[in-house]
Amino acid sequence: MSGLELLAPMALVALGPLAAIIIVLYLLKLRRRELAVPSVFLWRRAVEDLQANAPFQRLRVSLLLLLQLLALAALVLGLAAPFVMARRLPGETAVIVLDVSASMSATDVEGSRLEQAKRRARQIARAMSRRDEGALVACGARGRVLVPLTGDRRRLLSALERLRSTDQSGNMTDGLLLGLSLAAKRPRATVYLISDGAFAALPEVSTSAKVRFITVGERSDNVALLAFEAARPAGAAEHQVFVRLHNYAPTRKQCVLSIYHEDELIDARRIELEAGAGKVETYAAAIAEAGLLRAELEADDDLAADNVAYALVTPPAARSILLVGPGNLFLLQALLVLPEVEVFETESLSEQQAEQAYEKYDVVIFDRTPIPAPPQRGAVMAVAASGWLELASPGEKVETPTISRWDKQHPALRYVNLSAVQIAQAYALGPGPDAVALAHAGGAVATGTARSRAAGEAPMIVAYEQPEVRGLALGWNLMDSDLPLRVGFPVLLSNAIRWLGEVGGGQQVRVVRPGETLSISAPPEAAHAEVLLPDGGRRKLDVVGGQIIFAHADRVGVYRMTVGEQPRRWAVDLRDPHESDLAPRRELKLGAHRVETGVRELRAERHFWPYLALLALLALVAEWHLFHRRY
Amino acid sequence: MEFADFRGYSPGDDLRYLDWNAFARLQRLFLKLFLEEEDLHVYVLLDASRSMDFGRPTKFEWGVQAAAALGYIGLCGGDRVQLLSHAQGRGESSRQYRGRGCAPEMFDWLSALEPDGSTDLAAAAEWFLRTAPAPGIVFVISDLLTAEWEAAISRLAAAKGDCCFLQAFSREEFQPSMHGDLKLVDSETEDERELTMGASVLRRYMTSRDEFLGAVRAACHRYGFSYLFAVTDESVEDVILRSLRRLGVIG
Repeated sequence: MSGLELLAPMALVALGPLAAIIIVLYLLKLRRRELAVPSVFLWRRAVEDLQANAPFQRLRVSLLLLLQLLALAALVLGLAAPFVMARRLPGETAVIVLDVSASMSATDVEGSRLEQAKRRARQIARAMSRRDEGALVACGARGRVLVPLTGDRRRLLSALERLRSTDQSGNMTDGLLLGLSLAAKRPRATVYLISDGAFAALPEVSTSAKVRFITVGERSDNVALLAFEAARPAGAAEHQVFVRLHNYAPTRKQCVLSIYHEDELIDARRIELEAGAGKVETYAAAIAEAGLLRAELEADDDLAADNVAYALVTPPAARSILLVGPGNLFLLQALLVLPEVEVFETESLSEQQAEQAYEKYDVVIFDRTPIPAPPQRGAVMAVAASGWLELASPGEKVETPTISRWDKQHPALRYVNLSAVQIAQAYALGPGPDAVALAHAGGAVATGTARSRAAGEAPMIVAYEQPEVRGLALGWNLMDSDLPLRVGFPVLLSNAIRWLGEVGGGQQVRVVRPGETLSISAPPEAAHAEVLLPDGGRRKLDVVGGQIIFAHADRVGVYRMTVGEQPRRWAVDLRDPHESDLAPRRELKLGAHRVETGVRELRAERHFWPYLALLALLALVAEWHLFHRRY
Repeated sequence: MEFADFRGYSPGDDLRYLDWNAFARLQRLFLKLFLEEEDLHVYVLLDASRSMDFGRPTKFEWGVQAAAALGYIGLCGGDRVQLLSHAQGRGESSRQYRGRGCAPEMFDWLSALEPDGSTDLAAAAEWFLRTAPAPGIVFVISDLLTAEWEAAISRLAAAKGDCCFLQAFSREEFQPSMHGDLKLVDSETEDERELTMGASVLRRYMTSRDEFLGAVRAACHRYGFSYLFAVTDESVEDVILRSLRRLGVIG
């Protein structure tokens, strides 16, 4: 609370003259009515101590005069409108949406941007009065309600105390919508977005709540790794490593970029970046083994999370493929263009031949041919083929299905667009107990018996993944669709063969973004798994339904998990230009609408004139009472 | 001389009063006792100062009525009645009246009185002692609102005879109903007192009044005088006939 200020200080000038008038009036006193009495003999005794002849003696004893002056002073001071700037919320409901994304870890302000944001949030929480309500939403890759609407300030403050930053990309839209939904139906609600503004543009929202943007951060001094990939061109002996950097600082920056394969340094170079400019660096590196590449940037900047990036060096892809079926030119051609792949063909396999084939070939593809025996180890792709119930069982026939959604994150479907694929007819697949449906047809008309499928969705692509076995099933005949004619087909096939060929390929490595939820299949016998976090901490996880769900990859770094005998790991890096651009946003727009900014509104004028008026009234009442008591 | 009673003879008694007829009949000596009848002097001393000229009726009017009543009772009882009025530096006295026939003259004398001047009861008492021809019963009718009230009582103690004080207050004096900011002016001395009437001041006045009346009553009792307090809106008859009779002042 700041010092006392006066809205109309000139009013105080009136105090002196008015006080003087009161005193003079008191001294002059009112004219008394003369009354003749027989004798003042008795009165003399009655009023002896009330008589005061000297004016100053009167002043000295007159409590009445003091009360009159007090009332005058209170009124005049009230007219001067004294106020203090108090930390006061303008609304009765304050929803604090606090950005905890990677950029908030920037150290351009004392502590970090998050600490600064927490200080602002604390100010809001502390300014809440008893009748106010507050809620706290932390927003990283997703919004999360840390404290639902409550009148308990201590809950808000302790939640703020516990709040830690993440390396996630900020999805402020999610946080804002969550905050607005909390504030909905509350009168005089305000949603405070406390952030540095390092997030994508926010959409227009229609809400009765007021949105205010409180910005944190001071400067943009950051060099970031925005892309990092390693690939080996077909036939080449060396991997091509591709790094893209960007300097978000307004000055020229120097840094050292080092590339590690696992923990072995394979290259390091000094790089100069112009102010606000990006740069692409490429390396050719002879990497014999599959593994994890790490790019590290040594730069004197404010954000560390984007100074490291990971890339996979994939193991050699499947080299030998057996195509079982009546012959499919499209499939064969697509397979033949895959680099370093040998394709063998046969029309059908017996059970015994199949078991040998699973051992001999990296991937066996059954095209419109029954699978004679499920594989014990190895990889199988089934195109309109059945016989392996753990993967999928054929369901009812679906006419002209359209694939409405698919798992874009799955390695087999990455970069593939299935939405426009025309399919004449297909079979809805029933995924096995451990298999997952990767693509669904929506709005399909089932001609089979199961007309009652509520969602109206039919699984079209199913994947099965175990340590020793992988399978992928397509629910339709490629010849009944235009998929082979589409650009996505070779990509799908390449992805699928690569993913299937990785089975049993040693360590499982994935590179993901912070905050992504990972679903990892566990061996049947495993009940628990333990994850070693990048900071050295450990987290125990339960296996549920053969799957381990890990939703705590909040930090950049390498996570290791041992489940069963297989070590698995995944690397998390940021690669988000929104987060790396640390230039603090001074204003915020919801769609085209500008949001009020700043902390100023947190401070409200607290006026004292009502109290002063009350004091004047009390003084006058006291004076009146005293007057009638004394005389 | 009027026969009153007998008593036994004791040696030394005046032989002239022996009842020889009784001795002849009873062979015992009895002495005849006689009651000597004497004229009783009744004095009514009325305070005629300006302070008496207040109230409704005024204390002076009330005092005149009371003096008339007392005088008339005296005349009817065959007493010698003399009325006196006194204010500062001024004393008047009537002649001595005797017999009911003097009543109209006595009333006329009383009607001619006017209140004026300030109270000086001590001087009045001394004047009375000087002028009173014979001891008798003295009725003093006054408001006694003077600082020398006690001196006046003590002087009268020197008078041979009985004394009765009738202190009269107007209702306004007994229970003031005035209010507001006032400047009180003394009717006799023109002394001023400023005050603002309120509950507190009234309470103080009441206390002061009660203390004063109590002190006067106590002083009267100390000297063996009868004392009667009256407020002038009470009827004179009530006061004279009931209160004085109760006190045994009148028969």
